[in-house]
Amino acid sequence: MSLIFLLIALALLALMKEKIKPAYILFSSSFLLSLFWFNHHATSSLTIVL
Amino acid sequence: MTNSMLRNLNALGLFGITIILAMGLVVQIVLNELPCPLCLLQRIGFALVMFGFMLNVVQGSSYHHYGLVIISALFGASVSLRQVLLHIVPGTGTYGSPILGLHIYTWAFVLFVATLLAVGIMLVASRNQQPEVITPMTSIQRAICWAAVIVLFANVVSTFLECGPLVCADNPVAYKLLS
Repeated sequence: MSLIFLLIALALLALMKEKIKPAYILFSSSFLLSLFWFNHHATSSLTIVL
Repeated sequence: MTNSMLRNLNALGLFGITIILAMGLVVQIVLNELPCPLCLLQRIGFALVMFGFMLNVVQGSSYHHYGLVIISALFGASVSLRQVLLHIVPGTGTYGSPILGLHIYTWAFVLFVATLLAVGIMLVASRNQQPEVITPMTSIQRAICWAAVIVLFANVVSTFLECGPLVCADNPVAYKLLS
């Protein structure tokens, strides 16, 4: 999980240096990784009836 | 609303999210409450929102950047709503201490929805704007951006100490790298 924070921090750092394309690549990677971890951790069933 | 006002509002939004993440770290250290994986994913949602706001501050506001904020806020809201639903039935327990009557994941959901509302208002206010000539950031905007970067790197360190390079524990009780 720390890798995702690192990627976003580097994306923000790239933005500060006005390196827009690397910033977008880092942001996209972190977003995809976040979706993967969300899917990984959201597996237990909810105790609610819909 | 002028472009420079919108840029300042985005800087304000970035500052707000930076404060939220900093408060999360303070609560973690002072109350010694380690964030669970879903809690960390909510922090990541805030960090992703920061990216969109910072794009608006650095590059000038655009619909494209607001779109990134909306997608990120929806991700964060999904994670926090998932955690709210985990504990919504009485007797299913909670995670962490409540703050002002609400648990942190509930606050996170409220804040993600507030972010969506704020972005909606800014989008309405920015209609028919002329293409912006990108001017250098003011010193305050630059300071806010650097504060955001520093808070994110602090989160990298705290998460690495808690989880190490691998998967985080479902109910963490100690920092993996300090125990």
